[in-house]
Amino acid sequence: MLQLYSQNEFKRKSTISKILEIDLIPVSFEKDKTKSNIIKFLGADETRYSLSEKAPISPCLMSFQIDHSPFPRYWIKKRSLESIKSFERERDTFFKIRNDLLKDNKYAGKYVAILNGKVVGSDENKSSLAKRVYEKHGYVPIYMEKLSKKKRVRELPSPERWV
Amino acid sequence: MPHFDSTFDPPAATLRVNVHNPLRTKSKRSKGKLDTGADISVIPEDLVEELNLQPSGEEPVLGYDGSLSIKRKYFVYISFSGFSFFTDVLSSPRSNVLLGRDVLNQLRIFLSGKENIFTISDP
Repeated sequence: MLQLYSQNEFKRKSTISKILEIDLIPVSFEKDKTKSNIIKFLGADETRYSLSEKAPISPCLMSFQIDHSPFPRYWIKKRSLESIKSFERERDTFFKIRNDLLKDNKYAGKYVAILNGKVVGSDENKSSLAKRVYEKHGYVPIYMEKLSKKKRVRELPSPERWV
Repeated sequence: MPHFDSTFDPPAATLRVNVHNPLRTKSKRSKGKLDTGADISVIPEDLVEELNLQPSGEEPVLGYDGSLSIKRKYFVYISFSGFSFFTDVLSSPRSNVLLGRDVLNQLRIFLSGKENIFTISDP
C-alpha cells in the first residue's frame, strides 16, 4: 500500500525541509524497476517534484528531487488542482470509514459515494449510483468505490510502438 | 463492414468514438481502439481538461511490464456505432481511446485479422 503524506509529515521525515516549505499536491504514484515507490508532486508554484521511497513498506524516505519528466498538461490548471484536493478529501474519508461501512449490511458489497465527508448514496450498480448522485448533488468530485475486503487490480497490458 | 485501421502496425480494429461528460454539455470525437486485453476503457488525459471531467475514484493498474500505478477514474458517456455506454474510465497520456472489456463485453464483436475486417452488434 502506497502512503500519502501531508506536508507536515514530509517536513518531519525529510532532511530537505527547505524544498518542502511549499504546498505540494501528489499527482501520481508509480513503482520503478527496483520496486521503489515513486510519488510525483506538483508544487503550488507549478514546479514538479518526485519522491523516491526505497523500501516499499517502510516509510523511510531516501531521496527527494526536482523531477524533469513531463507532467500531463492538465495538472497545471488551478481549477483541476481544486478538484483534485476536494476529491482527495473524499477519498481519505472513504478509507477512514471503510471498515465501519464493511460491517454495515446496508453497504457491504455495494458501491458507495462519498461527498462532504459522508456517504451520500449506495448501489449495486456503479453507473446508476453515479447518475443519481450527480443529479442530486451536481457534477462535483465525488469518490465512488466498491466496498469489498479484496482490493482489485486492473490490467492494461497494451504496449504500443513508439513512432 | 469496417476495416482494420492500417495506420497501426499491425493493423487494428478502430472506431470513431464520441466521449461526453456526464452532463452531456461537452463532447470530443476520438479514434477508439478495440482492446480485449484491457479490463477497463481508457481516454486520452487531454480530454479530462477539455471535457471538465471530475474524478470519481482511483484504480491500481498493472501494465504489460508488470509496473503498478494508481490512476484516476472519470464517468463519461462513450458512444460509437449507435451504442452508448455510461461508464467509468481511466485516463492516460495517449492519443486515442482504448475500448476495454467493460464496454466490449456488452456487445457481439467479430474480428477477422485475416481479412482485416470486423463487425460489431448488440446481441
